[in-house]
Parts: sequence; C-alpha cells; structure tokens
Amino acid sequence: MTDNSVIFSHIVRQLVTKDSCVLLIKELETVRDSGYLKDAQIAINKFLSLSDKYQGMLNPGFTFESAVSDILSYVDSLANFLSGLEYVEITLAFQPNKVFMQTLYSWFADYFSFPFYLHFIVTEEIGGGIVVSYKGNYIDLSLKKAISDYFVSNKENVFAKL
Amino acid sequence: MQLPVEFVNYIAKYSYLIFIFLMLQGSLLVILFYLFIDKFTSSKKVKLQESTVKQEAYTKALSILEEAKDSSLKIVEDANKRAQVLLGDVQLVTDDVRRDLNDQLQALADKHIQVLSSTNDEFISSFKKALGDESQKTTDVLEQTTTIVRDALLSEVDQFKDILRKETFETEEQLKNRIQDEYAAVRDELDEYKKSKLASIDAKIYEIVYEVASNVTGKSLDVDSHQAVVIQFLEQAKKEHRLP
Repeated sequence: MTDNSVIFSHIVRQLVTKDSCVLLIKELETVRDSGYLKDAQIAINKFLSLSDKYQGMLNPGFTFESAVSDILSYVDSLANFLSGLEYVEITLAFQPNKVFMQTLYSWFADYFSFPFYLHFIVTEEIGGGIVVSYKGNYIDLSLKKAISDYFVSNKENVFAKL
Repeated sequence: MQLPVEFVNYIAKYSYLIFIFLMLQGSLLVILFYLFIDKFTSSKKVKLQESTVKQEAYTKALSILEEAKDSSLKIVEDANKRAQVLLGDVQLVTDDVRRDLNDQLQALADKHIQVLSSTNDEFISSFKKALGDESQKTTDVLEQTTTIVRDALLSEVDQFKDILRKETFETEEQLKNRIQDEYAAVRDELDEYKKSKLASIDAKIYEIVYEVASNVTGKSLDVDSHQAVVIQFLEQAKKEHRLP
C-alpha cells in the first residue's frame, strides 16, 4: 500500500485540520456501511459522490464500473489511515484562514517526517505568535512569552523607563 | 473329825513359832493399853494445872491494879499541891515582867521609828538625787539621741535625694535610649515596609505594563501581521534549533 500512503498523505495535506479528517472518516464509514449491507451500487455512488465533493482528491481512479470490493477496501484503508494519524496542536491568537492553515501544514510537513493533521486552538491570551504541541513535546513561541522573556531579561531597563 | 497327819506334823513343827507370835501380840496389846491410860491421865492433869495458873494470875493482876490505882491517886494529889505553889509564885513574877517588857518594847518601837524615819529621809533624798541624776542623764541622752537621729535622718534624706536624683537621671537616660531604640526600630520597620511596598508597587506596575504590552501588542496586530509573526517565530525557532 505504498502508493496508497502517498495518496493518503496528499489527501491529509488537503484536509489539514482535525475537524476535516474526522468529518471525512465519518463519511467514509457511511460508504463502508453501505457496502457491508450488500448494496454495492449505493456504496459506489456514495463514494463517487464523496470524491466529487472533495474535488477528486479522494479518488485514485475508481468509476461506476469498479468493483465494489476494491472501493470498500480502499475506503477502509483510508479511514484507518486517517484514524491512526498523529496530530499537532497549534494555538494561535487569531482565527486562521484556510490558506494560512495550509501554509502552516506545509511548513510542519517539511519539518515532521510523520503523517499528521493540525488541531487548531484560538485564544487571545497568547497575544500573538504560536504555541506548538505534539507527541508530548511543547514549545511556546507566543508573543506573550516573547514579551515576558524580554521583560525578564531587560527588567532594569524597563524599570528605568517607568 | 480327824485332822490330817500332814497338818498335825506341820503344826508341831512350827508350834514354837506360833507361840512366839502370840507372845509378841500379847506384849504389844499391853503396851498399847498402858499408853492409852497414860495419855488420858496426863490430859486431865494438864487441864487442872492450867486452870490453877489462870486463877493465880487473875488474882495477882487484881492486886497490881489496886496498887497502881492508889499510887496514881497519890501522885496526882502531890502534883496538885506543887502546882498551886508554883502558880502563886508565877503570878507575882508576871506583873513585873510584863511591865518591863512593855517598856522595853515601847523603847524599841520608838527607836525603830526613829531609825526608819531617818532611813526613809535618806532614802528619799538619795532617791530624789538619783532620780535627778538619772533625769539629767536621760535628758542628755535624749538630746544626744535626738541630735543623732536628726543627723541620721537628714543624712538619709540627703542620700535619698541623691539616689532619687541619680535614679531619675538614669531612668531618663534609659527612657531616652529606649525611645531612641523604639524609634529606630519603627523607622527600620517603616523603611522595610516602604521598600516592600515600593517593590510590590513596582512589581504591580511591571505586571500592568507587561499585561498592557501583551494585550495591546496582540490586539494591535492585523491578521497578516499575526501570520507574519507566526512564521517569523517558527523560522527563528527552527533556525535556533529550539523546535522539538
């Protein structure tokens, strides 16, 4: 399934967020459930319809004539892949748009060697910047931390100006 | 009835012993009878003798008593006679003696009165003199004592004044020192409080400035600036190898 892994990684890069991944997993489970009910045609229709919704990025080349078993196998693999993804928690002081989310995903994808999705948390408490947390690791690159560090290291200067 | 031969032989053999035995028995009875008779007659004789002796003693005692009675009457009579003679003599002597005795006693009493009177006067004068001397001595002693007591009291008062003055001075000094110490302690506490308060105020100001800086900076940025800051911080962390 090496090819599928590449395809799945590409899919996740498009999905970016945890919410998107969870939503897709549920939709894939619906397709799979249809196939298990031995209503092959409905399962195929649902998958193709889902593929259209995601602008073809899900479909490696299945058509109405494809075997339902192949489709279901693919759906299963994709759902399992998405379910087993690591996630990187990103805290921001503003609500990021989709473009910025993808920019961040690309940035982290170049850095991390494992497949992942991003889980965004928005809070103004950090002032700005970013706080990153994954696999038990944590780094605070927030504006609040930067200002705090500055105040700590330049206390005398700050007091002198008060 | 015929006695056995053995018995007859036996009797004949010891007949002399039987005879001797019977003789002894007879002698013994005679002796006893004699003794009884003798005892009886002796007793009667003794009783008779006792009665005779008693009668004689009684008669003799009566005669002695009679003699004693006569002798005593005579002695009393003689004694009365002598007493009467002696009493007459004594009566004559007693009047003279009484008179002399009275005179002597009167003289002795007068003499005693004189002696007592003179002695009393001397005693009184001596007593007065001694009293006067003692009074003078007492007065002198009292005067001296008064002077000593007065001096001692004045000295005590002076000492007391000195001590009081000294104590007052020392107390003033101690009070002064204590007030200075207390004042210094309070001043130190105030300085400490001032320092801690200023430090607290500084910290609060610092905190406020920090909060304002954080909030104002964050809120003053637009989305593009936020995004730029995020990327900048990430790149910087990556460059400094601070990313985990």
